[in-house]
Amino acid sequence: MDEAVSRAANHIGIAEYVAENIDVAIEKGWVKVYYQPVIRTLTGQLCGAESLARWIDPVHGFLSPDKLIGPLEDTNQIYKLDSYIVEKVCSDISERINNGLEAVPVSVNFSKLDFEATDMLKVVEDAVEKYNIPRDYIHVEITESMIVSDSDLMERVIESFRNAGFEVWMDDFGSGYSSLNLLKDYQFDTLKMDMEFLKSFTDKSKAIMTAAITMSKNIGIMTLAEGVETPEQVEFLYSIGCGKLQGYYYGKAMPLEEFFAHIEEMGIKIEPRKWRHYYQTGSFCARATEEPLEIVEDDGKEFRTLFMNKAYKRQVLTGEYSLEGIDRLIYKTKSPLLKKYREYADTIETTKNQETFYYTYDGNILCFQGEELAEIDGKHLIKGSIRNISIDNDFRTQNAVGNKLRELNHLFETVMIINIERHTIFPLLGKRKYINVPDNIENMLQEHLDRMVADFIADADKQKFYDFTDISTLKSRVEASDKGYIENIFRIKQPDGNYRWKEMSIMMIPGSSGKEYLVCGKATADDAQPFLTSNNRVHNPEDYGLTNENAVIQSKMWESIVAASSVKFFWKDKNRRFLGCSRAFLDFFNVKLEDILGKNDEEMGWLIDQKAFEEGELEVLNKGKNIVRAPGQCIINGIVHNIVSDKRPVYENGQIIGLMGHVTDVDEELSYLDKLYNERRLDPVTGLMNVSALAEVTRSYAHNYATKGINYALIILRNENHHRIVDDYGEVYRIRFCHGN
Amino acid sequence: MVTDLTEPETLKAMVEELRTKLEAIKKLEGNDITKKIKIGYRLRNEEGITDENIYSAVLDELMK
Repeated sequence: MDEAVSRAANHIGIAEYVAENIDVAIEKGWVKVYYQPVIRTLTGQLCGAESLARWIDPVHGFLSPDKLIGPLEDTNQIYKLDSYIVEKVCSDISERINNGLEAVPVSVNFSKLDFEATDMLKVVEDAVEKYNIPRDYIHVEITESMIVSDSDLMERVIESFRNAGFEVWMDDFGSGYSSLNLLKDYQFDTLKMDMEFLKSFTDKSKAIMTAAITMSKNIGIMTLAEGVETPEQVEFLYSIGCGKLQGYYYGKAMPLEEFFAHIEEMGIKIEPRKWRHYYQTGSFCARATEEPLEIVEDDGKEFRTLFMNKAYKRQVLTGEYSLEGIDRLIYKTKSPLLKKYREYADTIETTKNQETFYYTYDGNILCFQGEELAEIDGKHLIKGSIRNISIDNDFRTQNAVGNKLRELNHLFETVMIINIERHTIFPLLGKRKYINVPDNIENMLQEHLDRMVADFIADADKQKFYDFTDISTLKSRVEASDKGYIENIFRIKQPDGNYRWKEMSIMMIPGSSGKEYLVCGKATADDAQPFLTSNNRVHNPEDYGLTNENAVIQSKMWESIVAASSVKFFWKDKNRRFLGCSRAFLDFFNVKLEDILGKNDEEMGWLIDQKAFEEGELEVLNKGKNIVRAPGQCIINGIVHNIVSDKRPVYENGQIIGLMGHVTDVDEELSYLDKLYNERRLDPVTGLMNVSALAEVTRSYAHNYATKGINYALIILRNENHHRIVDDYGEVYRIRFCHGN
Repeated sequence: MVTDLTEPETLKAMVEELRTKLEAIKKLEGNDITKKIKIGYRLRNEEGITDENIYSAVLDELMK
């Protein structure tokens, strides 16, 4: 009893001492800021810290927060302590940044009395300004009880801090006055689950935490669990998608130097500012769900699993594995499936849409759906879900043949199942590889085929493809085939824009009465490609360095130039009569090919000085002269155009057999040059006028001022933190940042 | 550059509005950013300002 009284008296003594000496303690540096680590669950990296006040008194020694806060609140001096903590935290962060060291965001705790005593937003803003640190390095923690005690005040506080760019966290959620209305009525950035939940690590508390964290995510709030002390707790919190972890498992609150030494000692990496949003996005998507869910990071070469829930594991694994074990099993093998995964990832990362893929594994047909969550510096976060449709009753009923599709994905690039009665088409393997259609018609057979022909089949093969896929004759053609299926080869446009020969086969599904077919696509046999290519060759003169191996490309290039280039060219016979011309030439003169074939310029009547043109062409044809940029004029639709033309002879076996030339519209060229000129006046980073353009504009303003008295002003803006944004987020943000403004 | 401005107060108000709006941008593609906008400005009809020196005068103000 005496001891208890003594302790109470001592406590009262300490309280008075604290209240009387807070100014001295701050001035003399007895008040210290300690930092407790906050870890990103998904990566295990240090992503923040909580600042906590400690008083190391020369007389009384170490004074913990419970001995400070009460007396300072009672005497309305708590704002002094909290303001000092803000100042010191900003100073510490600034020092690390200025020394080129990694810094992490720090949360600071406030009391309701702080806001009554002073303008805490100004305190924080002043400190941020003074030490020139980004606002996102300071987070503000307020408790539920603060809101309950003065909801109007706290509503203003939360709003003002968030509007200013500071995250506001709800501290100790679930500790006392918890009300779901708080989450409904106030907007927080992060919910800190009270450590009491983990102290009683029971099924009940786990269920409550799971529900609270899922609910937070559903309403757009990030999550953090306090009081983490054991690996089991870490594992559990990871499994339910809790975003951040804090507790003795990662370290107690420590002075700054000790804090970073401890982090290094534990082998924990520090999350750079640049990656914060990226991993935060991933963290937010990790959650407790019965649906299979994984989050994978792809650096373009390798995949790394960051999150995989039990439901997902059940679909693809037969045992318990760590994340590293999962990566070894799935991604670090020589399985041919790896090529598929790479193809899927590339598609997802290119389209940025949710994509669906089908493949077989171990005799099962799997349907994988993935979408990109975030991308930075060539790394992509992909959220994926998977379903084993072999065990899906509906699917099995609809597709009795499904179980026979074992490992077909190693042989075929795509396998589609079509039903010619229902006019449907569904992918069984691969994805809708050769189709870009809106969702609403993606399964409609004829629309699918039409789009495939329009977008992917080479012009020369279009009719052949239509005949091959003609539904009205499909059954009879398949039945007439000795092999039981029909096949053919087509030049099909690939994702890189090149056309490649592909083998397509169509097989009737047994027992479907000719209603259902498998349409399979695969690459032609390796040794068939050279043969097919050589069959497509066009002779080209080798003295221009054109080899026979390039004949197909050359032919295609020629066709492409004639049909799609902007060069207005033509070729004529020995009698100066048109034999052909490019599409651009026809467009320019607004004529059709049949209008000019076999005619000369005089018959066309479109040149103003026909004689000069005729003489020039005769010199080409009779003397082998090259004409370069000969000026002239022509009339098109009643409008005179200034043109220049080039002409050269065409030889066969050493004899001139005709000429070839091209026309340039001078007015069009000048307009293009004007555009180039303007581009030279723009700053490539900001998209605004560059200095030389500014000088020009200034001259114009000066002229107006001198002659008309129109006043003008010059305003120059400079973002003093620009270098920091570029340093933290990378060069690519330099341009995005400037254009975004 | 802006034209048809005669009153220094109008220019000052415009500059402050510009600063406030620019500093209100706190996120770029999800990433947090903190801007610190410094602005230099001069009216052509201010004393000592000419067409030739207006650019350097504004730059000097900006670099203070």
